[in-house]
Amino acid sequence: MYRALIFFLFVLSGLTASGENRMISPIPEHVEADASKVQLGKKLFLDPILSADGTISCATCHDLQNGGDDGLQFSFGIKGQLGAVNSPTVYNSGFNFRQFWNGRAKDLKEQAKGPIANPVEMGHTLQGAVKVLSGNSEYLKNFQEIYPDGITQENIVDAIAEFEKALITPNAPFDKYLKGDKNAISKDAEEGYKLFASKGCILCHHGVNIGGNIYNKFGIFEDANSSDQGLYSLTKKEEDRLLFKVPSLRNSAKTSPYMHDGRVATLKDAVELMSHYQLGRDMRPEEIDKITLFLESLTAPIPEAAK
Amino acid sequence: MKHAVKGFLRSRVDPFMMLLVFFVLLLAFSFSYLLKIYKNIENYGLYEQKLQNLITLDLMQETVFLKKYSFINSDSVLSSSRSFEKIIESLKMSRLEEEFGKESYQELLAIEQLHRSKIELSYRFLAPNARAANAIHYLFDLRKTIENKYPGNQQKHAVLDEILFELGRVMMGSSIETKRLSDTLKEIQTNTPDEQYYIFFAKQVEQFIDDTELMNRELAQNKHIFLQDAIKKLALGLSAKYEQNKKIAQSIVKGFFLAAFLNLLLLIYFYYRLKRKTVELKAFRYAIENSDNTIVITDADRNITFVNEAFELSTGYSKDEALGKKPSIIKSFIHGDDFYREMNTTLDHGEKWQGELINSRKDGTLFYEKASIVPIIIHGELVQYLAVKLDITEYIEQRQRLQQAAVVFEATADGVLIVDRNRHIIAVNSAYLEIFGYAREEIEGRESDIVTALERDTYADKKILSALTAKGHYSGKIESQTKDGKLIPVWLTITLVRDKSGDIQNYIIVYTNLEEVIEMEAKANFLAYHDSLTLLPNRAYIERDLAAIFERAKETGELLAFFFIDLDRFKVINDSLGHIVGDEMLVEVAQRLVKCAGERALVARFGGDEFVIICSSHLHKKSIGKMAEKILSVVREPIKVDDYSLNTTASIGIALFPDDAEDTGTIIKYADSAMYHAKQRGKDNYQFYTYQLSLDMETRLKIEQKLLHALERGELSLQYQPQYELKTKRLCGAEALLRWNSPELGAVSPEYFISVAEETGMIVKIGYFILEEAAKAYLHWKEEGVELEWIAINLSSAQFRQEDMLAKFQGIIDDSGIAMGNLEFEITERCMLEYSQENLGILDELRKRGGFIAIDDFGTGYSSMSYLKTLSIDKLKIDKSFVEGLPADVNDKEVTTAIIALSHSLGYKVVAEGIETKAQEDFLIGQGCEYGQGYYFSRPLESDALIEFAKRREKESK
Repeated sequence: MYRALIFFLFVLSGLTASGENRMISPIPEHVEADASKVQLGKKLFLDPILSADGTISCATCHDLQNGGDDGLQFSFGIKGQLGAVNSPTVYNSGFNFRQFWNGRAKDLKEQAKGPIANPVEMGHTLQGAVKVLSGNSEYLKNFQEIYPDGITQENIVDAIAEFEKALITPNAPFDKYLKGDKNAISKDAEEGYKLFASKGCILCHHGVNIGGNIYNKFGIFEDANSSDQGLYSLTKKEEDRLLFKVPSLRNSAKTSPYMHDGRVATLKDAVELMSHYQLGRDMRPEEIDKITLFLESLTAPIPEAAK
Repeated sequence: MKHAVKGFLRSRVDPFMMLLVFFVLLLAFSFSYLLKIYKNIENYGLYEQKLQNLITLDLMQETVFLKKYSFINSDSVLSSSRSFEKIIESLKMSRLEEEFGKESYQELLAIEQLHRSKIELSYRFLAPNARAANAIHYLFDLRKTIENKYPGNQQKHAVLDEILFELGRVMMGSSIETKRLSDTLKEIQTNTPDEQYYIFFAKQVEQFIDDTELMNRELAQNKHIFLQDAIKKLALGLSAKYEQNKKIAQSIVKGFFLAAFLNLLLLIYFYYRLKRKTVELKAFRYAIENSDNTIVITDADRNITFVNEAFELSTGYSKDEALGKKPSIIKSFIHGDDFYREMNTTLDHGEKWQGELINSRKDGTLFYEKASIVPIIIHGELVQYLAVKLDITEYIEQRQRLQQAAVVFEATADGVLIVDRNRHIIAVNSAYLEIFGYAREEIEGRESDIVTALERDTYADKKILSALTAKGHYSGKIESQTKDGKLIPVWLTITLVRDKSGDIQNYIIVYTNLEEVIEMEAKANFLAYHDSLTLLPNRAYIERDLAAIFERAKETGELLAFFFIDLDRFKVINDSLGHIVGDEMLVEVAQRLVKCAGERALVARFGGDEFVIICSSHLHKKSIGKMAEKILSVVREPIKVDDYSLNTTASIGIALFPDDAEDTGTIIKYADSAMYHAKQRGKDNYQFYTYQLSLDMETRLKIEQKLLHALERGELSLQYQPQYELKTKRLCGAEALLRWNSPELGAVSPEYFISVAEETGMIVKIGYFILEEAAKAYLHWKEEGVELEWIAINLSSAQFRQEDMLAKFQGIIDDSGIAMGNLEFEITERCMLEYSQENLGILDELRKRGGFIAIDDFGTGYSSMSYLKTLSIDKLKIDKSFVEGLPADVNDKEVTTAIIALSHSLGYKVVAEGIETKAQEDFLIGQGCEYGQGYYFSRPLESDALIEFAKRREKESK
């Protein structure tokens, strides 16, 4: 009887031997980005000129001072229209393998086009945006200084994407811990990290962005009762049903509410929900607390680019 | 137009140039093509590298599928897929499509698509893999939890272990037996809430089974994504295409190389051809440079571009002087415009002109050229003119000389034969034929007798042969026979003409007919020694024969009388009646002399109006005198010439041989002196030479010598003979008289030295001196208050021979300041007759300028009244010889009266010379003579004395 167990252990150890510690890496101090494009992108990001009625800017739903999202379950668009998904943070979004919850955009540029043209978000068209910006002498000048072809659809989203690329949040306490400062986080948070790894969270939330680099099914062990069918709504493939992009956990303490539909308000509840639906196991309250403490250590100061 | 272009190409683009250009183009093409190939290789390397990277990246991505059930860091998938996409993007942006074709590009797009599918699959795989991995971990935890929670349920534990073992096998790679596992799971089913961990366990296993099955499906799917193959295929395709390109490139480069090589061969061929041509051209040029022919090349505009040395030699222009100039620099302007027009017409038609030109050298001398001028036309375009000319000056000149020689040959009066070395007569001239009376055919081609005789040494006169042998030349007098047998004297000249090797080539035989020469000689002799007018022997005859005559006389002891006869007044007759009359008179005189002298005497005309008679006679002096008287009387006989009856006389000088002298020159001189003496003695008489005459002659010679320096030594001076109005006795003028006080000879009378001065020409200078002095004196007197009306000076006929006499006189007069109106010029009657024309002109001019003219010594000369009418004179001076006899001598009285009357009738005033007595003065006053001079009034005075005299007279008259 024990033979089987020992064999299983042997197999398991062989599979997991590849360094667990390297599953999470710190945010780099810098990313390569064109400074002038960043400057222009930031201006566009903060300017409601891109919305059809001039009321909504990118920053309306992605408040750079408050975790890079809007703190609402669903975001508002122009004319007070209510969206269908919870707005994700714009911070570190460059590290994501896909953009949007269902991963329909392959990169930041593709993503940037979405909200501008979305009728319930900024309600504009890209051609319209080009026209409006072309009427602005300052933008004309700005664009011409950077792009030989001046204001174009591609150049607008390129500038915005370049700015978003620069929105990274290094130096979270946990990153400092990873870099060797063992006192950067509390004992409990450290234990929380170990639990995070041993309970299997890390299997989906890993990498530099601690998430954002993999799909997974929302509600594995129990139906999570989501009206949004995730990737399936794009591919119409059965195996894609309820597949969502695993979100980044960085700065998650500041991005409540949680889940694609903002169904959970606190981190504790989110951890508990994850344990229940996704891992199919029960966790003791103190374990959940410790994991929450760990998650809180992922909050980094607001970066220079966002100020 | 098209033709013109073709022509241009043909003329301007030679194959060598074309090949050279082609060669350069080939090199340029090869180089640029090689550059392209090199770039392609570089690009290909890049593509290959990228494709290699893609393969590596794909292999990395493939590992995801190999790590089933284990932790997989999805970041690695993200980063590798992004790298992959980046490479794909860069390849899409590259020149891949251009270089390797659309197919390759399509393959690239397919790769991109496959990669996208594979990445999507990877992400689909990662989700169940994460779940399965989590299940395994949790199952292990659960087994331990269940062991602890439910210790007694060994049977169920065994089932759990069996399930775990089965899962382990699945994880090791065994196929999953879903049915059996599901059945086994039923064994642990429970509804007991306490036993919820069994339910967790079952759920996890079920999930594991689902995920494993999902993963297996996906792995199977992955097997159908042949990304790796697609990349490799593309790489292989590129490689193949690259190799193909390389081969094409290689063959093209080979082609280029081959073409270049062939081109080079052609170039070398052309080079050698050119080189050979260059050598030929050099040879040509050398030939042209050193040709004896003058060669001139000009461009189309006829500017000289080349001349050779022959040109320099024949024209005298150097190359540098000629180049760039027109050939007309040597144009001589001897040919007319038509000549050059005709030449240019020919040349303009593109035809060759040939002809002879007379051109001018640099130094202006002419030279002859035989020329041919060719316009050089290449491809229808006139590019040059080539003139080839031969300097034929020498030939022409030789031809001219030959022509001249031929003319001489024909024209000469001498008979000429030219005989060749075979003794045949090859040329004979007309003169020979004429002299000897042969026809040309009879002579030409025949053997020459004389040459034959000479060569055979049968000729009588051996001198000829020896002279020819020694000198190649003989000349001498011989007698030669004409055709009709007459012997004529000829001067024979034979000249041998030898060739270069010294052999006899020709004999030139010249016969000068001496018949005529001999006649001519006699005639010439006669003419040389005889006077052509009178046919009497001339002076040369006398000089030639006199010595012989003397010789003979000496031998026989004869006495010879030498008569020197000079006609008096001949000159006057000759001048007034013309030389024809004079000549006839001379002939008559000559005949009379010959007749008178008799046969034994020699009568000769010595020159002009001088005759000589030499009588050889044993008569003594008295009979010689008789003979002289006879001659005088014969001459005195009036001579009738035309309508004139001429009267002439002779003066005769006689010298005797051997009494007076024994040599010919002295005899003539003595006779001449004696004749002179006779002249002085009043003409129409004869005088023998005496010793006294010799002395006189000596004196005369002395005078001549001393007089030469008298003027410059200041030995000459003037005295002034006062002239006065007879009626009033008023001093009104003075005649300047020349005085010579020689330190050696004492005071010499003008009677002697004036004639000497005239003969030697001294009189000219003396004349100026007189004028100058007289003017000075006159002005001096005027200053002193003695104002005379005139001062008279004597002019000699010799002075009139000076062409500038008038100008000189005017100069002296102007310098002195005397007025022309105060000057009187005295001139003798004789002087007026000699040189009449000039004299009259000068006298007229002097008078016009205000001077007065007086005729001196009137009555002593020819007293020809005729000229008095034609002259513009103011006064006549009656010679003192007439005044001397007044009033007693009837003759003198009549002459004087006549002269005065005549003068007055012509409007001249009269001056009487040499008044010495009151009676003379009274007579003259009575005849109405205006002025006088003479001792009776005053002797000639020095200048200052004249002032005194004048002042005294003034006092007295008051």
